[in-house]
Amino acid sequence: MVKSQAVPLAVVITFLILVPATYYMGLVKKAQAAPLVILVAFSLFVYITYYISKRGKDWYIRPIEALTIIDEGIGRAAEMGKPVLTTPGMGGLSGAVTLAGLSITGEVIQRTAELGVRSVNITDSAQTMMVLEAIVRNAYSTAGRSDLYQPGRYVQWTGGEQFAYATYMMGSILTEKPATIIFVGSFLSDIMMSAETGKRVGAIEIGGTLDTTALSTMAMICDSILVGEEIYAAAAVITKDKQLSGSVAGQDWALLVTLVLLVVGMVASLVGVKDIINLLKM
Amino acid sequence: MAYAIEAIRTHLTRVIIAICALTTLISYLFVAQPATDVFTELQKQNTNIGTFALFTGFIVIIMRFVQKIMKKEEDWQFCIYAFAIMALWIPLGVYVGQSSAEYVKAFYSTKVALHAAAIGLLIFFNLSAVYRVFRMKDFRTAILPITAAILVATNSPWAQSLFPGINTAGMWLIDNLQMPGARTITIVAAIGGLALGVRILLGLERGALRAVKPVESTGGEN
Repeated sequence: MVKSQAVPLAVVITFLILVPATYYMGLVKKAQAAPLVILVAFSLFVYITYYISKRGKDWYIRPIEALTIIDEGIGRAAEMGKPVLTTPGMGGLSGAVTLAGLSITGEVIQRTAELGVRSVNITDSAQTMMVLEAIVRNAYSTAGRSDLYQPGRYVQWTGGEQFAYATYMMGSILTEKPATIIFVGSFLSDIMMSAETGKRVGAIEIGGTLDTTALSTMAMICDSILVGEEIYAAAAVITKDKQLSGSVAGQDWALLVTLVLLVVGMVASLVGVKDIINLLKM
Repeated sequence: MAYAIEAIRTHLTRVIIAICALTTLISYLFVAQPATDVFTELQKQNTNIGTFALFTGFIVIIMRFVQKIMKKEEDWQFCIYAFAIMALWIPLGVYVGQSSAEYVKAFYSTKVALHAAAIGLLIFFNLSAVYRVFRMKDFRTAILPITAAILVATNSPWAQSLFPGINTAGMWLIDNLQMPGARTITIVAAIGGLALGVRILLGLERGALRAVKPVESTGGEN
């Protein structure tokens, strides 16, 4: 038992010594001390919960409605004999939200491959297209359906312009008439055109993005949306992987601490105490 | 050989990610000139790799278009159209110059006109979405359209002249309801991004380059 806790304990102690030491030695940049502490603390939460789950603990992860609907949507596509359309949105691989979108897309394609449902995956970036192709190949291979995989059959490129992407999406949705459409990634006003076209063909739509303007449009049109950190946790929840779920529990701890900080900071600010604000400005 | 490839795909990728992530973090958080130098160099390499990936992607697209035309697959005519457009625009940009009068005229006559048409389409889709969503059945469903109407009026000069106080109400909604919501999403997304980073470093996230163990194939596709 002592041995099993030695590694996370050593990691925590190392950081507890290193962070103040570097600060007092003047190695930490001015105005970056608070971000450093928050970064280390939250990373440790994720690491500790991952480590505990590795030791066999099952964490309760709150159900995310959008992910349940994704499952239902793939099943619906299988019953109707229609494809599932996924898109990580616009933009290259530099955006974290695009990477999260690709992660979800990978899990969705694996499910569709297992059930023998055709998937149509659309992107506007030549970079993302190549990665998406690799994801599709891996997903079919993992699902044991390598025989169904054909290069270029499942991934489509629209041209690297916002409205070229939007009009391609509209055309593709009207032609393919997918049963389910998953928009998780980087979107702007183009989401209005593609999601609304999806509604016209009666598809179940699941959306998720970080742009608050596009997210509000998704909330208006899509059947369900992934908000904020749910996008990043989605792959963990879909796979039901124990260790991944552990890291999501750590993420929830971090959210809880943030919430407490927000409430305490707000109350302190209201009564005229500015210490927390000053502390976060460090 | 297969083991070596699997090891490269899993461990090498993780090592590269770890080096890049740590260098970026150290140069952002600490006073460390060597880390900043490495970070600057990595940024240059990132641009190089990005350009290379883009170029590779371009070649893949050309190959796929050629294949489509040769096999006369569905909508192969569009690929010919794409090639014709490329044949027109690439020499125009390279030889005539992007700031030349010819290029600017061609740009405004085609791309800008098409963009304007697409933005015009947005109005139609906006209206169709609003028609479906903003249906007032009870108090709860009435909140959204009423709030939206106030915000629309805030942005309309004619509405402001009819209802002089509407601007204050609209700005109150933006400052007190919309802003905290947007900030909450930004904060929780940042925490999610941080957790994603830790998961990638721990090798928990399944990406395109992660090695997978295929299983036996069964059945067909609908």
